Amino acid sequence: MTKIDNETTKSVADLIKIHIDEEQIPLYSENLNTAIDAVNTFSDLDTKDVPITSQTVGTENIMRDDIVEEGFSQEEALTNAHQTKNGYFLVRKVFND
Amino acid sequence: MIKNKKLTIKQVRKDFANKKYTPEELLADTIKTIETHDSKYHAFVSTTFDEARDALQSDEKKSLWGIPSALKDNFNWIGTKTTASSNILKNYISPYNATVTQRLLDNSACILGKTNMDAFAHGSSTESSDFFTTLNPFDDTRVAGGSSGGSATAVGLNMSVYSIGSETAGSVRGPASWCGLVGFAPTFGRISRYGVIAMGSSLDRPGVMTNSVEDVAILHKILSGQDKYDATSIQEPPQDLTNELENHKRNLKIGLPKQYFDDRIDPDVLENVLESIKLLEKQGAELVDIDLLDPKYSIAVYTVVQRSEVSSNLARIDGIRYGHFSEKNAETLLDQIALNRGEGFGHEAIQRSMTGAYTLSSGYYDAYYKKAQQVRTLIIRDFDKAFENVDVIMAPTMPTTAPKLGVTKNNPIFGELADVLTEPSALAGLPCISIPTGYDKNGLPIGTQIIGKQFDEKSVLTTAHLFEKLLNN
Amino acid sequence: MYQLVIGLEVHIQPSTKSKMFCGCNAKYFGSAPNTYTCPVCLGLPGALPVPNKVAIEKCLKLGLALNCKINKQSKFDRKHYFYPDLPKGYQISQYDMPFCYEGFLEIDTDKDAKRIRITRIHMEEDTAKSIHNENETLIDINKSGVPLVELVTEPDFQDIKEVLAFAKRLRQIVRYLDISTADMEKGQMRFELNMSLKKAGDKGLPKYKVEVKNIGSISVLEKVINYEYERQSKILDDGKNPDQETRGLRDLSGKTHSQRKKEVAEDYRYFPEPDIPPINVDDKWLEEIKIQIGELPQDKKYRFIENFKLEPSTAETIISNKNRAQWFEDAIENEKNHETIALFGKWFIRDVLGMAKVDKIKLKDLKFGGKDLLELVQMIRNGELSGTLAKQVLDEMYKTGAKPQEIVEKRGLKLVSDEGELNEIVDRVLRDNSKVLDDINKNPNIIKFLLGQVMKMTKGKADPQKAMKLIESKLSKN
Repeated sequence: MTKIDNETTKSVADLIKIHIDEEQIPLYSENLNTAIDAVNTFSDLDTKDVPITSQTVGTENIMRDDIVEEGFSQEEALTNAHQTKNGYFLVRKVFND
Repeated sequence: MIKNKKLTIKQVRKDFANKKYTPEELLADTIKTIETHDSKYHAFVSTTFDEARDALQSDEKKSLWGIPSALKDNFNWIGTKTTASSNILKNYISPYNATVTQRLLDNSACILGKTNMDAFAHGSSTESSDFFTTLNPFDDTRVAGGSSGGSATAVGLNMSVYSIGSETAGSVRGPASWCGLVGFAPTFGRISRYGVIAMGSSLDRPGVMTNSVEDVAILHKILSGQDKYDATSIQEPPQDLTNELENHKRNLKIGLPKQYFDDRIDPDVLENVLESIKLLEKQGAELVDIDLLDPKYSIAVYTVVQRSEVSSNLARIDGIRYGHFSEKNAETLLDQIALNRGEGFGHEAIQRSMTGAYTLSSGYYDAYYKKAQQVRTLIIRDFDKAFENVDVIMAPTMPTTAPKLGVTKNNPIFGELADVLTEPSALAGLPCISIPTGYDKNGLPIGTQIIGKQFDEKSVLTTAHLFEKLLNN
Repeated sequence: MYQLVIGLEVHIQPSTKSKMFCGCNAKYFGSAPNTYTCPVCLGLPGALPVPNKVAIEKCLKLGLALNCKINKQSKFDRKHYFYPDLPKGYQISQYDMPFCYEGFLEIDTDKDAKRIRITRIHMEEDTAKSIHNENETLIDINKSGVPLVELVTEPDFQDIKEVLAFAKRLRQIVRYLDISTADMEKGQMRFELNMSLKKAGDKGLPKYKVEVKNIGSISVLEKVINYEYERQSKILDDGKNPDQETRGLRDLSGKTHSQRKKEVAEDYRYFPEPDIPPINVDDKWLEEIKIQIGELPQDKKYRFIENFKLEPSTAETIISNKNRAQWFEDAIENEKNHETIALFGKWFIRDVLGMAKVDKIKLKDLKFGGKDLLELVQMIRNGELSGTLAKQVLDEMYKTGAKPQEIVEKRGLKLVSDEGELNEIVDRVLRDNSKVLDDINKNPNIIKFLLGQVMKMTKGKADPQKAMKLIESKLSKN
């Protein structure tokens, strides 16, 4: 099995936007490899034509009626924000275009 | 070691009626216990003593009135900190109630605090809590288990009569088994997940930890039932089994999967569990040897499915609308988000998110996520086949008793490995319960689990009730 | 000369009251920031989505109207990426099992009807609004979670007119079917353009594709296509291929700007949404939706051309919205004469729609009805009323709602067509203007002048054709 290298680990961390210090990368590579090794045990099971299970309950068509319900006030919505401005969530950073 | 007085809802209400003590006295006593012992045992992340006192002013006719309880810290409760034991949500205050929380409060629940857990429920010990490890009530050099460790120790130390927890693999059964409690999680979808901080969306099941099966039935009646805010909730009214507990099946057939009784199980545990189950045989139940898929496959499937869903469910925590915001210098907004998450998430959350993102990424999706969901179908079919011949399945809950502190060090898949006996039923979304059946040679509790067919909480609870009666005799 | 190869992606906001996955108010336009939120659309930990049935029905309705196949088993999927306006860090969308797929829409071109193939139509949720200022980003969650129907076409467009005809017809259909009010100024319908060029005669698709996002109106769409044609053809003239990239707009001029190119294609890590059970679209449900569809605008247009013998452009204008078409059709329902109908059409478009547009009122709020207008037109056709006077009558109908007959009688506007009366008037005019008669052979405008005098003397009530005939016959006698 291909070992997951530090470059791959870095790109996964970037994909999910989690900053990992350079010196920690090898540890996470190791963790990733351990996890994937454990996972590979199931490759010997025959799953040809076996459907996937993404839900176990077996229900279908659970939908809501198109009715408006009261939600948060502006204050409640902003209650845990780091910073706000004029009712908006604020981040004092430039967006990378 | 602090002995568990094993209070139950029924007992407490009797004591109130007989004026053995008042609710105020019980509450004050419980608060004192917490204040005295919790700085050592760390069952709680935060306490809500004022709210608990206020709860005594609510409708006393409701079934949970005056009964001290605890709520795992991944359940949203308006006005309280809901942290999931994670630094990134250290200061997050719930602006809404989980459905479970609402149903508890509607029944006059008296909640004393939010309990400690493995951060984001990622673990089976609470050693992955970003704050502290919860100690086992029977031995303070050992872990309580997880991820609902705090909920277990709270009941175990009489800091609550019952606790609410949640289970994705074995996070209710496991700690219940290691702390000598009853731990129950119903069929997936039976109790609403709305407001429970999501770990594995297709796996998470709110559950309860108590000192009796009867308490489980009382709580289950209140908490279960369809919820319009949770599209995966079972479309049925609340399940009331409180008057059904005596109606266990005649000619009960109990399946014993040989893969759950092999040499991976500690000999003390094996002996105790088999002996306990024999009590049921003496009552007329038939024990049937059955074959189930090797649980090792469940570890693989569970690791992929759960970690994939974890990586997805944690994506919403970016520090902007809530959550930790890094003071470090970031040039751009996306860099800021990466710093917020990198600093705020603990090691376990990061490494599980990484695994999950990897297994979902293009090029690997088929080999991992898709394959895992296919094997999951095989596991479900495997149970279906077994249940054609038996009514319930019984086995040890955990392969060992509570391990020593530090067990998770250098073990990146400790959680998934420890839960080997609970993962298969969790993947199939089956109702299950762990009953305390004895102690090992070190005096540590052992638990036996009962797993039922999907939607068959009745067989699980009636069998459990009978089992409990026989064990108490 | 290069040939266009264009595919369109259209985002349509269906007109639901509430959002796609929660009960928050979906009509966020003009609202104060962060006032239409709840745990679900705010992306709080623990919140769960529940899909809006009406939104799904509108998507299915559109698919049926556009001849699509419907996925009987459908589901939602999570699409992951990080962006300040995406609260959950993923968008709930549909990946491999969209509600509708493989349909088409026929549009009218100069030559013939052309079929534009529709690859798929699916449901997703809209993002929040983020405002990027110089050193900060502001985020408003109100728009987050609003339903979106996304329609994707095959790269079948080869001409800018086809694109515009398609866009207009689609918008019309969406309004006809009450799927959306498609008010583009409110962002209820947006386009994404996929465009490349190839040399005429080249087989297959070009080796590159330029994507232009966030086009908010059909007029800007037109400008963008023209701009890109210029830009891309210059590069191709130099013997190179334009970069495969996503471009954006900074204003309404149609000029496109390169957005930062990504070295690696975005990995969305799609997987089935575990929080939402699958949607099973059975035949019974589809039937209920189909019944709601009614006549599509293009079919109505053809029917009007066929049955009423209208000119295509007239028919197109009349059917451009459902209420207008209904008003028209109700008015002329008992009229059999095609020329009368054609004249009615002219008055309807030029005068009635003109007046309503100036005062910004709806047809249903007019003080008179379609049948009243028909009566007026019939009076013109009968020779009872001149066109000029009819305009005055219409003005009064518009102001007061009085019936045409009443107005004509009250004001005595009936055309003077009685031979005797006219004869006298014409004689008088000729007598009064005898001097000019001498110049009549040199100056043919004099006859028009004389007619004008007749009209003046009769206060506009002379039947102009009859008067002209009399003038000419009297002059020829002399």
